[in-house]
Amino acid sequence: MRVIIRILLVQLLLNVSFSLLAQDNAQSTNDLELQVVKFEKEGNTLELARSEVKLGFLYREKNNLPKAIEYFLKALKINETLGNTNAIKVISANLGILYAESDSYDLALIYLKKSLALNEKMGKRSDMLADLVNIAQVLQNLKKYSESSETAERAIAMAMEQSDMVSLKNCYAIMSENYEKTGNQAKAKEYFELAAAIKNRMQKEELKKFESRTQQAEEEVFVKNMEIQTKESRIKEIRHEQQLTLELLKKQKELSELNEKELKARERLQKAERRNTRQVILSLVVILVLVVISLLFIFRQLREKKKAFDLLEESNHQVIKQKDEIEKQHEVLISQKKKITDSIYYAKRIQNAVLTPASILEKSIPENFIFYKPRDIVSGDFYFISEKDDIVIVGAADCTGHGVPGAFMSMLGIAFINEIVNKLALTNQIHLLQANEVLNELREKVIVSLHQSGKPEEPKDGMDMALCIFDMKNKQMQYAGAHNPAFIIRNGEPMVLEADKMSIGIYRDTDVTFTNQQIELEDGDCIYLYSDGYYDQFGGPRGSKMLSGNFRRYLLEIHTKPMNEQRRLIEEFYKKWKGHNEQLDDVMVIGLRITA
Amino acid sequence: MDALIIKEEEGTPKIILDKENNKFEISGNSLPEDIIGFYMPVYKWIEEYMKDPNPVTKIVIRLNYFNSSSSKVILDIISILAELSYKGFKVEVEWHYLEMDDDSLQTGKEFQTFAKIPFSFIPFQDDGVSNRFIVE
Repeated sequence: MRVIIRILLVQLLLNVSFSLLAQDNAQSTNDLELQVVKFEKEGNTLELARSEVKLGFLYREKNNLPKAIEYFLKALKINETLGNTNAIKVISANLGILYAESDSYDLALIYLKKSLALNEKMGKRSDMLADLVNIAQVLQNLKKYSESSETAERAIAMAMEQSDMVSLKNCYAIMSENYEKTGNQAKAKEYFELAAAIKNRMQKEELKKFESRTQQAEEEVFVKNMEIQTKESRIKEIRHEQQLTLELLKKQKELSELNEKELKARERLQKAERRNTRQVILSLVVILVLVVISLLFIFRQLREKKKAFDLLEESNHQVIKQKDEIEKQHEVLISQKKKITDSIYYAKRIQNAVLTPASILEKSIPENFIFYKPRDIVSGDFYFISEKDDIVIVGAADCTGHGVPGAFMSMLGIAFINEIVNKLALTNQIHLLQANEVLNELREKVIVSLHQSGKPEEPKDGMDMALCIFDMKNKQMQYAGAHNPAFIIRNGEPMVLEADKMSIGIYRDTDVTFTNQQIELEDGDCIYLYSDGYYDQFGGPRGSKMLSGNFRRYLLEIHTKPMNEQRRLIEEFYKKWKGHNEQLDDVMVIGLRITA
Repeated sequence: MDALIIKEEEGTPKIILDKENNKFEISGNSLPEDIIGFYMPVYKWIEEYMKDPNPVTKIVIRLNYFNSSSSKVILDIISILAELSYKGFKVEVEWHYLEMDDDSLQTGKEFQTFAKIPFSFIPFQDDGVSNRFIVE
């Protein structure tokens, strides 16, 4: 018994974030290499890494391993500077495989171990298993048999835990060869048989699957046969009806022939009258009886036909009546819908009127944008901007619900924040305003005004919010958040001010105060506030959620562009992601750049 | 008691509350227009169930998309069921989240700290079908 295994390569599948990046696969290496040069010149590192990964895969397909390795190494370097762990571990695993394929087992080992360590950290158990199997194989090729066996045993434990039969079989085969190489034939045989047993079982399962498919096909044929039989019996019924009609026609023809015969008979009768009167009378009586029966028959047929016709006419009449009614109802519906929509459009004017225009920030924070896209006509998202004595307040809020109920909540929110802010502004104490205090007070007002008592089945209406207070003179910013964070980019570095896990409205812990966070501002800082509608949108190539990570990555990519350009790009990115999917929630993104 | 079974429709989740077969599940997408109207039968059912619960209650939450109002209702439901654990019954939550959806995982963890009952977190693959909201 000899076990020969060439390099077992467990190919890693690209995960979601990667396939997201690797769109339009049908590009040639030439196109992609041109793109690489272009992105390098533009300094667009994210796109550069994408193209390099695509090139790596293309060259691997073309069996040009050195080139594939070269591009994967470049992509790895970029992703390491970006800190994109997911990409780093996928690329490392692929590099490990490529080095193993090029017989550079020492290098293969380094990259596979790197991937293993990352997978372990991320808790990706199935990817860990793939790495372990590959490492065990590479160690065997390096003739480090005992180390290889140790790794394989670890993989065996994981494979059993995940019921991964293929990996289990591969591990047994590796173990078997290790024992054979170290001269332990008995153990080698034992593991060879284990591997063979799994292979055997997998083949049996395949066979079973095939058999069940065959049975299913037979059942389908049976059902089809039944359908055909049903149809045939219906055809017979129709034929029978046709037969009956034909017979009726035949009887009518016979009747007219009878009439002719009667005339002839009468002529003959007149001639034979004198000869045989009794016989003539008898014949006449017989003929008359026949005629009467036939007439009765025809009359009955006619009466039935008329009945059926009447019935048809009546049902026809009813259908027309129903159609009229439906048309009337449809008109009522259309007019009702128009009334409702008109009234909501008017409500939209009111909502737009209470949203302060961003133009009031012209002096303090002139570089800003607001992307505001309600799901329905009116919105449950709203923003709040206020400025007095070098103090600028910007809030972005997301009320529960959307459409009309959301808009009701938003009006309540705007009115309350105005009240809270104006109380201090009117007494020239605006500089005393604390971001967390605004949220605390707002929460109290919402709970009291909605009469919320915290009973389980009562509505938990409320709002999530990110609130920033800028002190433009001292270049400081306060932030407080209810579920919604503030995303800041400084010198190309992302930074998240995390929100408290509380809502404005009745929720848990209404007696816990919101946290106040304070940072020193630097020129060039970009601050983004947003509701969850943008990144919770379903779409993209797989109809999946965008997710906040991808949204933030996109902001990082475009944050150096002028603000109005950013607004356009953000809208475009959203539309492209959404595609033909329905907009699920109100969407709002606010961007601000601090300038000298 | 009778099981409460609500079929999944666009915008509302599938709900199975079945004491007899010990099956409790909320799955799909949750963004109903009338949130309280939709979940009222669920509240009513659970209220009845609390009077005579099973020794072990494991509720499976497997939502692709849930809006913020739904998130509050789900927390409510978990909190109500969690009260059973003070009376000596076992209550567990199996929180399924879309792999990569850190936001959903974080929400689950947040609920765990509130409810103080065992949660298991299970990622599921994005099948790309159940998430579609096509208007056309």
